[in-house]
Amino acid sequence: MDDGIRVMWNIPFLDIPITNVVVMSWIAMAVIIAWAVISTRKMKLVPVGLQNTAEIVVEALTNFAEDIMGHAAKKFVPYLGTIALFLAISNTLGALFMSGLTGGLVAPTTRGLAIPAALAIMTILVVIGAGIQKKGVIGFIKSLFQPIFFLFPFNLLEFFIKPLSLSMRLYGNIFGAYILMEMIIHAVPVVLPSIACLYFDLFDGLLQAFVFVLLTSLYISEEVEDKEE
Amino acid sequence: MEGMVFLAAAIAVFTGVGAGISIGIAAGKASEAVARQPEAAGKIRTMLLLGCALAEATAIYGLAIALMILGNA
Repeated sequence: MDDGIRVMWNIPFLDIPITNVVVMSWIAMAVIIAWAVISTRKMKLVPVGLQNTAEIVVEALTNFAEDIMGHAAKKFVPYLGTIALFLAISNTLGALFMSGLTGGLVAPTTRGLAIPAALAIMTILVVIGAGIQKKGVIGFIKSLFQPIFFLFPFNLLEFFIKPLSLSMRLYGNIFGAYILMEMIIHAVPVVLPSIACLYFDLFDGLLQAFVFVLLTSLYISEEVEDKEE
Repeated sequence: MEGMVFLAAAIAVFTGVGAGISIGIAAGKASEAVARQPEAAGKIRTMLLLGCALAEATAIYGLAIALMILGNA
């Protein structure tokens, strides 16, 4: 079955394939880095130009994280913000270039399972790290035996299920949208694809980016919240 | 017998029924809640999205299994 992933180039000698998905993630990174560097180059107390956009985004992300995590949010805003920006931009890049109409060459980076899996593993490592930082190594291990000791296997299993469902959710949604778009383009090649593209590529991409960040922050807040005992 | 593989994939995608029903219920309840308390709309939206994401997971698992079945065929 065609999964929309094309090998663009092979790194010689090492034989590592560079796919279009990887190239798209580089483009997304370049966009974010360029925006971040330019908008913060000459910072002023009263912002002008691009500095406004940067301040709006940072403020919105900070408010969002503080809503969910409270005081502990400050430490995790950079991580959450990075994921949010990367996913939001890389999920919608496909829509900007009409991903369905370029034969799948321009693709959202999340069309392959590799990048969602990497992000989900990063998230679970941050969650474990936050738990250890909050409770200490021994306290963290003890918390695995809460509330009753024989729940230990299930608590342990959760650290594998969480990243699995996170990455599959992101990948499955984007990939499902891609397959549906292909079908629509084959069935009705005029007008309808552009409307469907708005929903599947733009709205669904942003929604899934939001859901990923929301779940990440919920998992972190589960670890760092203060329990009254 | 090759058709059976496609049939198996189609059956796996039936998980979508559960996700559809549950997201419908969640959205209905959320609009009821917003109608009752419009000032809590922001919090309700977050809860709705979270619930939808979790309910959707079953459908996604179905899709993943269907893809695995098709991939091995």
